[in-house]
Amino acid sequence: MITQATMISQLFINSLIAGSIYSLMAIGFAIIYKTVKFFHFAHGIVYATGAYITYTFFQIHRFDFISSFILAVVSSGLLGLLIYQFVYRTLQVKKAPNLIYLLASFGVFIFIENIIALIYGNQILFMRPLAEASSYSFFGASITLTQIVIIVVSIATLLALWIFIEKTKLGLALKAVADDPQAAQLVGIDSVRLTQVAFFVGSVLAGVAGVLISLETNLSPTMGFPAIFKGIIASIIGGMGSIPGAVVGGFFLGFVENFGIWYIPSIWQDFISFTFLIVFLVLRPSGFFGVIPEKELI
Amino acid sequence: MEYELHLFIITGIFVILALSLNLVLGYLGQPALGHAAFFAIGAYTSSLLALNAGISPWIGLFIGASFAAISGMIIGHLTFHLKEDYFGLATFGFGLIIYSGINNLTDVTRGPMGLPGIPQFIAFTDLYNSLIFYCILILLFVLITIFLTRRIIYSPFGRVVQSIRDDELAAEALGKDTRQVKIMIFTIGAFFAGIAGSLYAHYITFIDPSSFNVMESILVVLMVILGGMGTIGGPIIGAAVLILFPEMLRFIGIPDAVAAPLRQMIYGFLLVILIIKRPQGLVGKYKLW
Amino acid sequence: MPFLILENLSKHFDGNLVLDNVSLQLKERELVAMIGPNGSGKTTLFNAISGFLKPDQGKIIFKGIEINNLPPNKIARLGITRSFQRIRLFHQLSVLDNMLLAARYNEGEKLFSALFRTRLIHKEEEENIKKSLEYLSFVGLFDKKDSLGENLSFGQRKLLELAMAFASDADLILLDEPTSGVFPETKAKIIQNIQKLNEDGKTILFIEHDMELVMRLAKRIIVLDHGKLIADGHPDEIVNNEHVLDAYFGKRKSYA
Repeated sequence: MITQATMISQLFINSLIAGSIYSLMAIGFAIIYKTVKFFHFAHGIVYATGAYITYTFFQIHRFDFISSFILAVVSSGLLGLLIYQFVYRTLQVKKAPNLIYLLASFGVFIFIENIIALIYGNQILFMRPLAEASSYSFFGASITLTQIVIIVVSIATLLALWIFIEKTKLGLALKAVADDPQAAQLVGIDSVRLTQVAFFVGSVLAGVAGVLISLETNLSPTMGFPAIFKGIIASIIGGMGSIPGAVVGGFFLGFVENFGIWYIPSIWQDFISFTFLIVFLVLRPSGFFGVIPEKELI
Repeated sequence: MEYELHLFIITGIFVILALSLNLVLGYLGQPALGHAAFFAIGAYTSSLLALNAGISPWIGLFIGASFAAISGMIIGHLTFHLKEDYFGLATFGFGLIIYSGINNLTDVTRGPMGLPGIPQFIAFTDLYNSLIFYCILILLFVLITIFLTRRIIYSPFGRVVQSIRDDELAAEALGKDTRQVKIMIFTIGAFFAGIAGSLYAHYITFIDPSSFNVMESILVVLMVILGGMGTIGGPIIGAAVLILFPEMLRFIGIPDAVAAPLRQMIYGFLLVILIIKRPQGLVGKYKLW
Repeated sequence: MPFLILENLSKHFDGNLVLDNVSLQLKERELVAMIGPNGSGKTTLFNAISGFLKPDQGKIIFKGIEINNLPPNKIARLGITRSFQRIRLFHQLSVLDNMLLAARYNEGEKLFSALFRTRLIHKEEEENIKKSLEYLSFVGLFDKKDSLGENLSFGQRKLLELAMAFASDADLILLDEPTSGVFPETKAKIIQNIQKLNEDGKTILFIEHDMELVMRLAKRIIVLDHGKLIADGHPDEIVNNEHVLDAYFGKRKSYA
């Protein structure tokens, strides 16, 4: 019998999983936004690519899962770097306005999404490296091994990122760059190099998120689209470009979406998230925590 | 011959849609990325009125367009203060909300099952006559859209619209009520998109949410940029190229399963290349940046 | 009643006072220069008057109307025009279109008039074109009337800006460094135009760094420093004022 308590713990687990994935997406997006100040929409396709590369090595070439995972995550980082080098860098040199990056980013997204569709087809693919059957009880709800792995790996990734940002010279430069573009030079890294680092690190996080989610659900060429939107919404809720804000925003969105099912049918999940997006963009573009300093326009 | 007539009609509908977006994107310079939403509102409103209340498509056309215009006005009021990419994201989000709305409001829209049996403007027994009728009807609406666009743009009012595209702050400093002008253009753009949607629904006689998804919005943006923003000819050429191009793929014998992603892949590539190499499009003079 | 009254204007940015209790009055037809070191709040004051910035405190009264809560476009329509330090023109419109956008009377700019073009609207437009071309010849840009804004040289842009001030027929004209970065002969033209505007009855407040020009043109000088108004008076008084010498000229006392 499903009691209310079981229901709550089940929703709690679902929220935690969704929140982990959203946070990873949001942080990657935020690190990049912080450095370049434009919307890297194609971040979503890096996420999908991460999942498909893991699938290719693990399911098709029969590599072990850990190696496939590492190969995929590194490739995701490189894909992000490539997008920067070939598209955004050209635009940066020509001093394009922000909107141009967004449109180009859409183009890149659509381009790669359909390359994936051409190679793997439009059908849904599955990848299940972990024993499905093993599930554990958590306050009355059941949690599978896969779900535990998703949560643990996400948290481990977040911790690793935190150590990178707080304890390494490169990480500190990334953290400082938004407040002071000169900060990078102070620690002896030029701004192009730092942007490359941001794209690599951010894209690695997207890759991790893509692989993790495909353990629980499935792969499809269009999977990147909702993911980047959740990432952007979480980033905006947490305050654009704020890394801690992205974590909070990600988990907040995960919980709102899942517990929202209490009141609203689940098919309306996307509707709720997009409404959140508009509400925040229109009323509070600085998010819950961010404060946009008043600046002189002219 | 029937097939060519059909392509002409579809191209005409997209020309109206592209011209309506061009008002907002090309002349006003605001990156509206959710234009398919207004197309959808026009289509669903007049279809539902015809199916459920028996209202003639001729009247439904204007009610649908008016609903679209009102939505455009509301969106304008909410977003006029947002700057470029934030505005783009907000309108894109609006497109997603409308899409997910018509997908999920199954009681009203039948969701993904779509609405079949939408009545045509005039019921012909002969397909050929029907196609000829639609060709003339669509051509008429294309001409009206072109006429009104020119009327609006080549006027002191149109000059103000274009000044906002160049420098909103400077326009404001010269005493232009930029907020009001923006909202007016959003409203007019949405109205014509609604007309296009309604024409589409009463021609095809079947609509489902897939015709109005966000990819459709991006496709219209691509039509305008490809042809050349801020001109009348640009969106017409852009719409024609992007409607007829997939037919070419079919013509050279590429199977549909491959053609669909191949087509979109090319769209994506085209968008990136145009933006980097030729932001003024094929015939445009106005540069996006 | 004074033409423009600023009463105790203050403005903070991130805890910095950029305008500190500024009060001043301008009379009609005055030609006043505003000087002060970089970052002293001169442009901020322009932004406040023209409505691009809402002051935290204080009042701005123009021709008896309180304008500090009005949006920039309403203020402009009351008869205040301004130029920007970084020139702002409509780059992808022609020089003539730029001029027509500045014209004060423009009923044709309503959507209704665009759709239903009456004879009156046509007449108004013709009238505006005629005047615009006159002003363009006056500043020496007649030949450029069909060029796009972006194809003008820096000096020509500065001249167009002034021609637009003529066309706006505004009563109060705020000019932010009207001659910075132009060649001497353009500078002479600009000065001549400013004087012409003033003779036509316009009130002019301009920001300028070139002291020679300030001394030649202005009959009154206002000095800002750290957001405070530290001096206001006849040019001869100002150059001998100790506060001004300290704040603005620093050690270069020899200037006076």
